[in-house]
Amino acid sequence: MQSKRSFFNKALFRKNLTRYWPLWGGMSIAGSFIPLYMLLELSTRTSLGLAPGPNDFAELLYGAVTIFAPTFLMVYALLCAMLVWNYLYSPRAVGLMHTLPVDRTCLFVTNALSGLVMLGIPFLVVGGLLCLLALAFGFFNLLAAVNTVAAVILLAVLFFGLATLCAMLTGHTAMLPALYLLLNFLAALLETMVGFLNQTFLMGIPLQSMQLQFLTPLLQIYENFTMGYLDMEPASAASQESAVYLQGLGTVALYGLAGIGLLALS
Amino acid sequence: MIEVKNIVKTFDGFTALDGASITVPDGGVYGLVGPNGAGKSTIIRHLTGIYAPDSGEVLVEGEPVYENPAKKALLAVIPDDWFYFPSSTIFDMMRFYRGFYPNFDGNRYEKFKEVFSLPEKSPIRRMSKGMQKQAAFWLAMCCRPKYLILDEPVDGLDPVMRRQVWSLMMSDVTEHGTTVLVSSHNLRELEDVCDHVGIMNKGRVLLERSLSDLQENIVKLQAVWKPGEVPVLPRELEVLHTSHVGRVYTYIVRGKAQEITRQLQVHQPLMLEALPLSLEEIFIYELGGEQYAVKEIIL
Amino acid sequence: MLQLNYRDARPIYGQIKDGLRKLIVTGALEPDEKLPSVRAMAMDLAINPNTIQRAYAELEAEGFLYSVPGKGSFAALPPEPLEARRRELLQKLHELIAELRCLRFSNEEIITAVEEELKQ
Repeated sequence: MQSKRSFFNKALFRKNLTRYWPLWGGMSIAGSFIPLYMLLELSTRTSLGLAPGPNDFAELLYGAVTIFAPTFLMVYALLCAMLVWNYLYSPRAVGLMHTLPVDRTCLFVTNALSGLVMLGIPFLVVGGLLCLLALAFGFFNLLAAVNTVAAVILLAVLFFGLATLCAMLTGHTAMLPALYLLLNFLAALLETMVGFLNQTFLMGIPLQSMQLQFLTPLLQIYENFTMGYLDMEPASAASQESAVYLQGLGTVALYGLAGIGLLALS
Repeated sequence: MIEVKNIVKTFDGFTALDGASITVPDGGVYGLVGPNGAGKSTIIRHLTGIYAPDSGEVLVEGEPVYENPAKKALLAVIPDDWFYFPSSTIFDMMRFYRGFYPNFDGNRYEKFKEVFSLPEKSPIRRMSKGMQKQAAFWLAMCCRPKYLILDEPVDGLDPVMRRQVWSLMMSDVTEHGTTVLVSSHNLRELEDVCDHVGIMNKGRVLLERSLSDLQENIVKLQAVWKPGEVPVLPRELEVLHTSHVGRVYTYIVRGKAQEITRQLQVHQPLMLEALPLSLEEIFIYELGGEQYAVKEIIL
Repeated sequence: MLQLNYRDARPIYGQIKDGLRKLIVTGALEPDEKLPSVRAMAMDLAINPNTIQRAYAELEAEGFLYSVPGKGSFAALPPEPLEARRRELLQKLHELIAELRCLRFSNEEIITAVEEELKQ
């Protein structure tokens, strides 16, 4: 009999990934359209006689990343979380999972990892294709690549973490997305509410509500996560990265603590 | 050995268990019986690690079973509503279980394939409820549990399959000393297979005895008295029930058959016969005192 | 070997005991013939081995079988039948006679039947 405590279960992990392959498979295929599009664009420019420089590549890439990635991640992370944590909402499924000889921490870790991996696979695929593309055109810059990867990972963790927290707090499948969206746009909502109250009761004295904007990660990210231009180097969103970084870390900590703590509830 | 010590569990103000205790000795079959809502399934969910009690202890081999993978590996449960992944086949579920139970026995899986004759590679959702139940049995027994816990197990199985399943379990009990805990309403069936019985009602365990104890300590006596000489039974006799049809009196008395017969013989009945009670009758009469009896409704 | 009557109100182990005892008394099971193992019976009839064990133990106490460790249980005819069983059967005889008389059997009819049986 093993006395070693294990935090991960292979069978469950494999089961999750094989069950939900339509999601991450579909996303990977859909995501591949980005490098495809980029290829098309670059080829077009080449054929028009405009030799594409690194800036073009960067423009296209960062355009795609900063515009699509946050929203896409927000939604996709929600979906992954919903799939992975769905068993908690069905008493029959709980009846199986919680009677298996693993402890709840192991279940949490395995499921969370499954979710993150599912989240990550399309990015691996797309990222791989992009790297190939960059190499083909000679634009590959390791630092930039790492920056982009880090940014995406942190965003992914942020959103998945938030979704997991929501999963632990709600008791019904429909509540998860509801709470999630609520929390995501919390600041926006608060602002609107406060503004409304202001107008009604305080004769429209405007509040300095910008400090609360961090509660609305999406907006914050959009504001900060833009492209910066640096000479001829492929631009990175490095200067604005810190905002995302801090957010990502902060929420990672929150998710870690909250998730494990909430697991004790059946 | 499984021990449940005085557990209390409340849900939203509803007290499901109110100081329930049972002891399940090793190597036998323990029947947990009681009316609907008595708390049988709740106790089972404590044993399998789904719930933790508000107070009291739930112990398997002396250790609390909640969040205890080492002890949970010794248990297998067949719930009344078995969960399988929506598009899984029996084979898929087998691989899933194999990844959790260290004692999972692949050979047994193959051997039982013929016994259960279920299609291994078809989606489980396409099978009838009875077949799904059989699949649950199949897989549970392959986990080679030391403690097999059954919640309303044989509902939905045809008579042949029922005997087959019990036969397999009895074999395990004899050969490997497996302990079986079964919760059921079907007392007729439990009587054949149990050696210990626990009777529950309203979140409490009313009594817990070995079956032999139960059967030997309660007797049904049928007597015909000389007309006009119906005796009043001595006060020391714990008479649970009296009734008569015409001149034939029936008494349900707690105590040993021989002793009680002797006591009644004193009054010189025309006829006196001591009969054993079925578990069903014991259940009815024991609970009769608990205000859970068949009510006579005048329509 | 044994057929159980599931509708019989008697406890299972009683049925097993009576069933086996009958087989032994009537000679269907000869002395020193091996009885089915507890395991075989448990599987065959789908009932609790502890119950069967109990039945076997009581039959052994009554002298109807003996066990050899590692080999199993074997039929036997008790050297001195237990007093209790004798009384039980005699009581049954009384009851039977009472019922026969109730059903208007004459004394002669009853005696004839008894003598017939004794002659065998």
